[in-house]
Amino acid sequence: MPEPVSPDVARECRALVKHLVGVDASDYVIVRYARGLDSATFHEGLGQGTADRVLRRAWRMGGIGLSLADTYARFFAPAGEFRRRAVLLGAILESSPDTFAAFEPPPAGRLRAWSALVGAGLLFALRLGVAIVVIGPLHLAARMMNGGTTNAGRSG
Amino acid sequence: MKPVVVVGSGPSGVHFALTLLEKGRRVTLIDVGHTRPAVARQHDTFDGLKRNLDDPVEYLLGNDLEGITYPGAAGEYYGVPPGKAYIFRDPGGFTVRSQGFEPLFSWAAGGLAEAWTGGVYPFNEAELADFPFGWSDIEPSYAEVARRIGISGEIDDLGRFMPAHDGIMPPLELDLHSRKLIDRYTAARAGLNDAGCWLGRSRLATITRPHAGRGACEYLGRCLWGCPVDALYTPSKTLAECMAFDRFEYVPGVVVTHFTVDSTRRIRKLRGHALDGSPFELDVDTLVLAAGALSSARIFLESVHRATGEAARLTGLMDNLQILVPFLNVDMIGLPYQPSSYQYHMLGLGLETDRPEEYVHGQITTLKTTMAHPILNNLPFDLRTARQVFRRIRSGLGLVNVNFHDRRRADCAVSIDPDPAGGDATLVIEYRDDPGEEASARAAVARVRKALRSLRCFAPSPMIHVRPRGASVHYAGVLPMTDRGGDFTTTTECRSRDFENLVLADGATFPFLPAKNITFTLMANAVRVAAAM
Repeated sequence: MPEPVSPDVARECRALVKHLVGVDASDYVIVRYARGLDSATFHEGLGQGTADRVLRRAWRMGGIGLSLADTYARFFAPAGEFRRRAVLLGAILESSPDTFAAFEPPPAGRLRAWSALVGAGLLFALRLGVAIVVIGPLHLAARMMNGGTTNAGRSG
Repeated sequence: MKPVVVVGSGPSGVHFALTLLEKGRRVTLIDVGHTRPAVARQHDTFDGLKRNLDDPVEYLLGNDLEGITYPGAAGEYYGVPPGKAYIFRDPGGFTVRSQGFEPLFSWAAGGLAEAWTGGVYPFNEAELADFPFGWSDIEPSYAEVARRIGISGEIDDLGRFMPAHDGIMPPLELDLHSRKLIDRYTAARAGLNDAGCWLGRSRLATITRPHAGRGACEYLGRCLWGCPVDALYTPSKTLAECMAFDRFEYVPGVVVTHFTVDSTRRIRKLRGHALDGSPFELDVDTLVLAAGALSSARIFLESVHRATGEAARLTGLMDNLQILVPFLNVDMIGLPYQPSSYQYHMLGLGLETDRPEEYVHGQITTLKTTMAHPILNNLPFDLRTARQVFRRIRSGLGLVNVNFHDRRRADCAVSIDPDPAGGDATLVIEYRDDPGEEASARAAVARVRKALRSLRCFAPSPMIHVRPRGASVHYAGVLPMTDRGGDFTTTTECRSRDFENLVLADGATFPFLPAKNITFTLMANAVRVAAAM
C-alpha cells in the first residue's frame, strides 16, 4: 500500500512529472516526492522571495503556466523554491525504474540529435521571451508592493 | 618481541602492518573502523539497479535524499553517494577549526582511500628531489604494492611523467568516448606535444584479471557508488589480508587522542576512548602513526602539549589544488551512451612546465552514470529543456580534474587549541594560498582548454570550478622527512626526532607534493619504511 500523500502534493507532482518527462507519475515517484518535500535537506537554506510567490501561482496553473514558471525561474529565481522542487523531482525521476531512460540518449543519428538540440534551443528562447513578458511585470509589481525588499540573492 | 602498535587502517597503516607481518613481526592495529554496508545486487549493472531494487531512490540518493545537490549548493557538481557516507561518519568528539581549508576526515576501515578513484602514479626522480631518498630506493616498494593491489595501465605517452615499475596488467577496455579522445589525440599528437601536452591511459588500481582473491572489472557502471565486485582496490582489502595472520590484532572502535611519554621522551602508553566514551589505554613499545597527515598531527600535537605544556605549531601543510574543467565532445553527439562501462578516469593529461617537478596532471573522466540533476541545474535552460538537451549531449560529456603541485610553506600549518577542562583538543588548520599560484593555475587551465579544443571538445569557462582547498584530501608535509635534522621532522626512515620510538608512516612526512594522487606513494613509502624497521 502506498503511503498517504496529500492531494495537493500528488497533483503538483503529477503536473511536474508530466512537464519534465512527459509521462504519468507512478505512485512510487509521488510518495518519494512527498517524502522529499518533508526531508531536512530540502528545507536547508530554503527561503521565500517575491519571485517564488509569483511563480507559485503560475506553476499551480499547470500546463503553460508551469512551463513559463520553469523558464522564468532559471534566470530570475535560480535557487528559489520552484527550482528546488523541480530539481528534487528530477533527481527522483532519474533514479526511478519507469523514468530513468528519459535522461539517457535516445537511439538517434547525429542529424536527428543536432536537429533536436536546435529545436529545443529555439523553443526555449521563445518561451523565455513569453515568460519575461507575462511573468516579469507581475514579479516587478510584487517587488514594488514589497517595498523592493526581497531575498533577491536567493530567489529574486 | 612486543607488537608494533599502528594507528589507522588507511593505505599507509595497512601496508605498513602487512609488511611487518610478512617479516614475522607482531602488529596491533588501532582504528575507529566504520565498515561498508552490504553490497546490493552485486552483479547488476547501474541501470539494472534502477530496475531491480525495491527502492532505487533510497540507494542512489539516500534515505533523507541527502545525495541531491540542490540549486544554490556551494560549488561542487556532485556530493558523496549515500553508499559511501560511512567513510566520513564522525565518531564524535573530534572538533576542527579551519581557515582557508575544508578538510575531510575518515574513520572508516581503510580510511579516505575507500572513496578514492584509483589513480596510481609513482613519483619520478624530479618529484622526489626534496625527499631524502631517490627513485631507486622506493622503486622496489612501488613494485611490491603493485603486486599486492593489482594495477592496470599502459606505458604510453604519459610514461615520460610516470616511471615504469613491475606488476602492471593490461588496461581496462575504453568506453567509446574515451576511445574517440585517444583517436583524436593520435591525429593531433604532434601539435599537442609541441605545446607540452601529452595524453595517455590512467594507471589504475582496478584489475583487469582476477588478482589476490578479487575479481576483474565487470564494467557494471557502478564505480561511483563503490565497486560491487572489489575490482577497484581499497585498503580494507589489505586489512582483511592482515587479519589472516595470527600475529595480527585488530582493535576497532577506538578514537586515539594522544600518547604519554616517560622522562626520556620515550612513548609508554597510547590513550583515547572507545566509541561509547569509555577510556582506552594500551602499553606501547613502538608506535606507528598512520592515521592520515591531519589526524596523526593532531595526536602528535596533543601528546606534545600533555608532555611539555607546549602548544606547538606544525608548518608546511600541503594539499593539491584541483580545478574541474567540464567539457563536451561534439563528436559524440548522437552516438551511443555506455552506462555499463568503467566510470572513473581512464585517461590522463600531462602538461609540461619549466620545472619538471611542477608537472600538471589532469584526470579525464567521460561522464556516464554520474547523477544528471546537478548538471541539469547548471545548464542555461529551464529544467525541461535542460533534460532534453542533456540526454542528447550526455554521451559527449566529460570532466578534466586538473591537479597542481604544492610546496611546504610557513603560513600553512596545523596546531591545537587545548581544552582547559582536560578534554580533547580542537585541531586548528590554517592555509593560505601561494600568491603566485592563481596566475599559474589560470595559465594551466587555458592550456587544458586549448588541448581540449584540439580534441574537438568544448569547455565553457563559466562551468569551470575551483574546488575548495582541502577537497583533494591529499594532505601532507607537517612532519617532513629530511636528512638535515630539526624539531618536528623525521628521519629518512620516518622516525620522529622528537620521540625515539615513534614512526610517522603517512603523508605527514612528505616534504613535497607533486600534482599526482599520493595514495600509491603513501603505500610504497609505508612498505619502504616497514621493510627497513
